[in-house]
Order: sequence, then C-alpha cells, then structure tokens
Amino acid sequence: MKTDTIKTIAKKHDPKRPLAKNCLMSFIFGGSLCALGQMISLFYLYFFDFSEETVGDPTVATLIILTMFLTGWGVYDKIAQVAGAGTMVPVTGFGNAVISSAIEHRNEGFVLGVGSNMFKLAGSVIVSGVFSSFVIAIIKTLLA
Amino acid sequence: MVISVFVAFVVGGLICTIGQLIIDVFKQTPAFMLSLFVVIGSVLDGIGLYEPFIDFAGAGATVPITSFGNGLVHGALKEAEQSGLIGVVIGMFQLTSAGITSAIVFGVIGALLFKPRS
Amino acid sequence: MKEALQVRVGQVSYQFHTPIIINEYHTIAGPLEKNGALTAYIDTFIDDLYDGEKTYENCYKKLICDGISPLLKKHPDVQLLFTGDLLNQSTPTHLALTNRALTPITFDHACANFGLSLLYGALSIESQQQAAVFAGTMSHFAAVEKQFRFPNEYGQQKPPSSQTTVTGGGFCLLSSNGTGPHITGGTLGAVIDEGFSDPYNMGEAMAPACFHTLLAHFKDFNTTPKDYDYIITGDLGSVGQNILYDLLREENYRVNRNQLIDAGCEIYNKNQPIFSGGSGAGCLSLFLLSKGLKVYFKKPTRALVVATGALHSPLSLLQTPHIPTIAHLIVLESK
Repeated sequence: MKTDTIKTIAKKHDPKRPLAKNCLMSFIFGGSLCALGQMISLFYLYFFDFSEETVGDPTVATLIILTMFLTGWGVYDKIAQVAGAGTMVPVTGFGNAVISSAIEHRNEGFVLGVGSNMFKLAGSVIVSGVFSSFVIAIIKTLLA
Repeated sequence: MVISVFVAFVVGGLICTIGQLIIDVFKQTPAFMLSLFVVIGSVLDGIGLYEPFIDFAGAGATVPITSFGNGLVHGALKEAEQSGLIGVVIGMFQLTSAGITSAIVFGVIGALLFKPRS
Repeated sequence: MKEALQVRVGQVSYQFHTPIIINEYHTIAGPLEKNGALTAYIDTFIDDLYDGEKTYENCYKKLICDGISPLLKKHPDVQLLFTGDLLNQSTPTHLALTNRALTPITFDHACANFGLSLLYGALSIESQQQAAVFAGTMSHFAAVEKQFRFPNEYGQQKPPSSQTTVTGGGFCLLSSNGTGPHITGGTLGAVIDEGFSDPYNMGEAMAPACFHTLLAHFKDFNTTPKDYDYIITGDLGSVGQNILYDLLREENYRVNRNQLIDAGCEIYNKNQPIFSGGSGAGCLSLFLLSKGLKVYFKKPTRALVVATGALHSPLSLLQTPHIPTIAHLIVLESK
C-alpha cells in the first residue's frame, strides 16, 4: 500500500487537540500566574524597601519557591496538563524544568545526577537567550 | 493597584496563549517555543521596546520567560556603557541572576526534600 | 529416514507441529491498573510505583523478579526466559535475574517483545532444544517516562493521541504438555518506517507495521480475517486501532469491528487519564495472560495475537526524525 494512503488514513484518525479549550486555559492560568506575580511585587513594594526597578528579583524568587513545593508534591505536572503553555511560559515553568530534573535525578547522586542533569531541559532556554542577547548587545554597543 | 493586577493578568495571559498557539497550531515543541520567546524578548529590548512594555504591564511583562531575554540584553548593555565591548560578557547575567540562582538553589533543596512521584 | 515436518511456511511464517501450550502464568500490575478494567483477572498488585524500593528502576527490577518467581519456584529446571524490557540493555531484567539458574534471552523490540518472546519460545520447543521455557514481559510507567520522555514532575501537556505506559506485565510457562491454549503458528515482522515521527502518537506509527505483518500472515497461511475469532493487538491504542481497521478495509479484508481487540484499550476504564490507551512492553502480556486467557480463550477460539513495537530512542529521534516500527504475530488456539 502506498505511503500516501497510509498517511491520509492516519491523519483522519489523529485526534484533534482541543485548541479553544487549551488557549482559554493557558490564558487563565498564565494570566493568573502573572497577576499573582504583580500582587507579590506590590506586596514587596509596600512592605519592604524595594523600588520599581529591583522588585522583580524577590518576586521571581518567591514564585520559584512556590514552584519548588508544587513540583515536589507532584501537583505542578497535573496543573500543566490542563494549563499547557499557561504554566510553561511564566518563570515558574523555567523553575519547574530545573527543579523537576533535579528531583528526578537525585537517585543518581548529587554530583552526576542532580548536578549534571539539572539544566537538561532549561539549558536550551539559557543558551538561546544568552547567544541572541550577546549578538544584539554587541551590535548595539558597536552602533552606539 | 487593582488595575495593575488586572493588566498583568490580561497581558500575561495573552503571551501564554500565543505560546499555546505555537505548540498546537504550528506543532512546535515546548522547548522551541520557550527558546523563541526568550529570543523575542532580547530582540524587543534590543530595539528598546521592552522597557515601556514593563512600565505598562508590570508583572505581565516580567513574569513570562520573554523577560529573561530582556534581562540578559539589558544587563549586557548597562555594563557595556561603562566598560566597553567586554561589558557585554561581564554584564550578561547581572539582572537575570535572581531567576537562575534561585532555580538552582531551590532545585538542589527540592532534590533534598522530595523524591519523584508520578 | 522420516522427513521432518515443514516448520517454515511461506515467506516469514512458521507452523508448529508439536503442541506448544501456555500452561501457567502469573501477572502483576501497578496502582493505576488496579483501578482499571482487569482488576478481577490480575494476580497481584503493587500499591505505588516504588513498592518499597528506592528508585523506579529498582521497582521495575522487583516487578520482574516478583513476576517470574512463582513460576520459577514450581519449575526450577527451566533454563530459558524469553523476554525484553524498555530500559537500556534490558538492565531491569538482567539485574532481576542475578544469581539465578535462568538464562534471560532479551530482545530489543520494545513493545513487540512479548510476541517475539512467545514465537521464539515456541520455536525452541518445536525444535526440541527445550522441553519448557518461560516467556513474558514487564514495563514500569515512571522508569520508562524518565528514559523516553521528560522527568515525571515536569509540567508538560500531552496531546490526546499520546499513550500511557502500563505498569505491570506477566510471565508464562510454555511447554509441550498440560492444558491451555496452543500456539500453533506465527509470523515474524520486518522493520517498517512509513515516515511518522511524532513520539506522542505511537498508534499511527505502529499500525502500519501491524498491518504489514497481518498481510504477510494472511498470504503465507492463505487465510483471511474470517478464519479467526479475534485479532488481538498489543498497544495500538484507540488511534492505532482505528487506523488498522481502515487499512485492512482499504486492502479489502473484511474485518468485524468486534473482532479487533487492543490490549491498550482494554486495561483501563474509560474515565482514567490515559489518553488514547495503554502501551509498553507489559501491555500485551498483562492483558493476554489475565483477561485474555481467562475470558476469551476459555471457549474454543482461534485468534491472532500481534505485538507491535516502536523501535526509536530519544537520541535517534533527534538525529533522524523517524519512528521505525515492527510487529510479530502468533496464532493462539484453544480447543
């Protein structure tokens, strides 16, 4: 039988991803995480000695602590199945990628397990970010 | 105050929805989508658009991963103003260190506290 | 001298003349399967994916150990175990059988291992090399997830076409005397690559392999689906099963929808979060050695059992985005 026929039949039976539901859920969950971030920022702005410029750092750290517990209790992956990109795009997704790899490989030891595998998922984000930022910053500095 | 939370909700939600569309419609892997977002963030800061975006959306712009790219470029440029080209290398992680350091630290603590469950 | 009876049939098939009987069997399964549809038929369960062990891999090892031990205790003189699991170099199997007088013959055909194990077990009895052998497979959800996908805690969104690896499996004793269903023939599959590359849709990748092996079988034995009561597939899931049905219809083989049984679709209840069905090396062995033998083969039945497997690795998939697949078939009859 021709490969094309097989492909056509396979395509017919590929279950559709629930696009509308996925988008709505990622909007709600992603939006809620950002709103939570904003509330944490406001909290640090009003009760601690932070400025608009520096308040991002404690906010990110707080969100990542939260992620650590949700990941460790095995809740984050259950939420992510519903939320999709809503839990991947915010900084909690970065935290989850790092922390889940660290927890998964603790049985292989802290040096070769946790240490070497921690960035196996989040590494791509750092590498692409640093390289593109390097190029952009060099160009801007040379032009200025 | 309440308005700023609402704006963060809408803007952050929209960015995540774009991410979902990249995964579901253009059939890309999550890793590709996240890398693309970081690159977009750094490009936006390169042309000077990310700062006004943060002023407008607050956490809606700083919590999504795009702000990681923005932070990298921003730190590099800030240091480059003072120490020239080498500043790009020195300053790269200056502003983003909070995210990376806390992820590493809490990753290790997490590995100490928890074991994987399915 | 008496002419030996022909074992080889057609291109890739075998016909057995000595009775090869699935005599005894033992099944073991995990917590998700405990709440599934086969609970009444499975022998033992583990309560969580660690079962008192420190790591998932050790638990995988323990599952194999616990699965084979009851059989080994009763038949200490059996020498060979035909099997194969999903981790690197079948380490769980080899670790589980350390310091035991049993030689494991492990295959690397992923989820198709059970079919190949039964077929080769049968061949070794047919050729009178062995009087009795063990065959069986096992899989473990979290250990496989860790090797083939992402860390278990990583927040990913699986599409509806993805499948869930079964925790559990079963082992059986094949011998030439006793009571039980007979393996009367089999067909070996070849590696098929139709260009599918989505690791979250294994059904579409494996269905063509299953289809090719079925066609080869029908040709070699000169039979049609009408000659069999059931076609039991390994782990195509609902997606792959629908594709197989359409492929057979396209080739003008009239199959009844009720004739097709997929182990991946039978193990769980409809409301469990398993997406398009179960998969994994233990999927078919768990189903066949529990509900399969206890329900379908209680009455006189002639069925094809097809184990399908995807032969990619996470590394190969990144280098060449193709999922090669394979399927092996046995004819199982009860009188």
